Amino acid sequence: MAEQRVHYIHRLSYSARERLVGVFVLVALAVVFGLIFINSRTSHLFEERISYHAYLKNAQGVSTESVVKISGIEVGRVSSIDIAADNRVHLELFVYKRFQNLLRADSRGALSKLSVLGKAVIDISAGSVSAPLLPEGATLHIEEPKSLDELMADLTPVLEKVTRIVDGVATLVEAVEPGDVTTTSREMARTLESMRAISEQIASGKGAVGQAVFSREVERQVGGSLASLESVLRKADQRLAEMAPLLANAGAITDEGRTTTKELSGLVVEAKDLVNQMNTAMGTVNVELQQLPELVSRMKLLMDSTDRTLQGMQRIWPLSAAVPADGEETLIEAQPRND
Amino acid sequence: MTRLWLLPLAAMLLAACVSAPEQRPAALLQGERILAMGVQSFRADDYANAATHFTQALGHYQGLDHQDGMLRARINLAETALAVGNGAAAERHLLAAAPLAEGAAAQRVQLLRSSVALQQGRYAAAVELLTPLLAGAHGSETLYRSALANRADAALLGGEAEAAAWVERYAAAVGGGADGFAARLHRFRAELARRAGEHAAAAAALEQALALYKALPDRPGTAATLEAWGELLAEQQQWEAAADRLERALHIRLWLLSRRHSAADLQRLAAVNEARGQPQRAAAQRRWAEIVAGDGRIDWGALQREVLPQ
Repeated sequence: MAEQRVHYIHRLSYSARERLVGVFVLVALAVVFGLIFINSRTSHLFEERISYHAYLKNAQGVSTESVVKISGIEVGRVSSIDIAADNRVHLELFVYKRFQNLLRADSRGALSKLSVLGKAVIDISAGSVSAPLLPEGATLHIEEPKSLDELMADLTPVLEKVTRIVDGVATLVEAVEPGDVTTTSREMARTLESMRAISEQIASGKGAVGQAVFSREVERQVGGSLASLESVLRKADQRLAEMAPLLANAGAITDEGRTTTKELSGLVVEAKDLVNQMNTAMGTVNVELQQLPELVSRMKLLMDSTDRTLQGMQRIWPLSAAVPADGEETLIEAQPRND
Repeated sequence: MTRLWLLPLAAMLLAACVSAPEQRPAALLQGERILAMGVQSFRADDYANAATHFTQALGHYQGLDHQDGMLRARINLAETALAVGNGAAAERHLLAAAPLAEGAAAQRVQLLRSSVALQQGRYAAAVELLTPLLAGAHGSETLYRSALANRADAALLGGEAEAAAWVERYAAAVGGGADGFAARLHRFRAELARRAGEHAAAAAALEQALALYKALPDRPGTAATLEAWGELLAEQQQWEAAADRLERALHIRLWLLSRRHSAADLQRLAAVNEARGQPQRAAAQRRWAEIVAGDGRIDWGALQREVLPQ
């Protein structure tokens, strides 16, 4: 009777079997990790690419990982960054050939508003069908968003003008002597007092109004009042003469203010644009934030799955020998008191 | 002929032979994970986090009507409450745990109830609770040793004549070792020596206990040893050294956020500072002791700044 052959696995010791399984698991793991590592780089490995160039003054947020989009679709990436002869930043970017039809002579690129936040995306508008295709190696025109420094530089002259206006107003206020104002107002008060006395005389009913008006006493009072009034008017005239250059200066300041206001309106428009851009950026961020709960749930599932996988792996040699037994105790051990 | 093709075949066969690991329901695993996190926090002396995890676990198991999980959570909560000196909370959890506990768990609940009784100064009640645990066969060695430690503690605190005998019985159960049980034995011996007026022997035993606790490290044990040492030194009117030990103990108790022990340390420090002619510090320490002993909110930072100047 022929000896029954036993599968070699049954002749191996338990430890050897554990080792064998361990080797297979480790090899499989190495393959999986290797695939994960190269997956991102090889997902478009066999796709044909078309290269283009672009020049920027400020490539803030742009890296060789930056994505190129046409009409919101990811179509390529920035492949290299260097400095051109004119000191501008030279970007070489590629677009997968199947998207080349979207790139036409009238296509325009723009650096995303998020570049300030460090996540730049080059968004290119799809060209019109009637325009010719953009040939390989052509240079794309890319609009750059204003940097914070540039915005600050725009605001600086306006702030300087505002400062000058405030200084002019301060000079004007300083030129008016508080003492003169007090004297003038006191004299005006006296004049008014005199006029009130005349009114009282008239109202007293002594004789006819004409007589009262032409009586010597009244005449003297009226004369005094007129003299006071004349004096006040002379002083007011003198003050006005003193203020004339200041008023002329105020005119110039007003003109300057008007010019500044015009510039301000331009700036307001720019600020409005900026706010709109910010709103767009925030909208993008919001969309990403809305996906966060789902992402967290997925992460939790993934973590649970990874946890189970790791627990399973810990039972396999050589990890079973290296990792100590699961110490997840759920009850505190009894211990002596420490009061 | 190459037999390399056997390799993938063997891998497939082996994969077929390997059975999937035991999979329990996710809800149970989650509860266990929460409990395990609590135990880890407790071991790291992070009682606040431990209590949070155990409370969460209790809620989780109550939501499943899982009796064993609820029992474990209650026992852990009672341990945590005892660690911070909150006897009332420990008692509440133990009362709720008692109907759920059977066998070893029931013994554990009884042991904890004896600890609560000791903390509250009910020594006779503690002895009554411990007697069945120490009589007859005992399941868990750790539980038996803990019960003996509590019994020796009750004998010492209650002023029993057989206190030394209980300590020796505890010593026999503990044997050698360098764990918390051995350190506790040194503390018991120090206490016996102190009562016998052998201050040098007491200090030596406390020094041994301290070395063991620090090697572990065990914060509550270290603090308890420093407190005993501070009291021993105060008895010998070595005020500076006593204040040093008590301040070190207070630092640990404050770190552990233990109100009861911190208040007791503050009172001890106040007495020492009064004796060494620092009435203002003593007054501040007494004032803080009252605040800490109460139920109100405590500014631990302010307490440390005022009472324990760096």
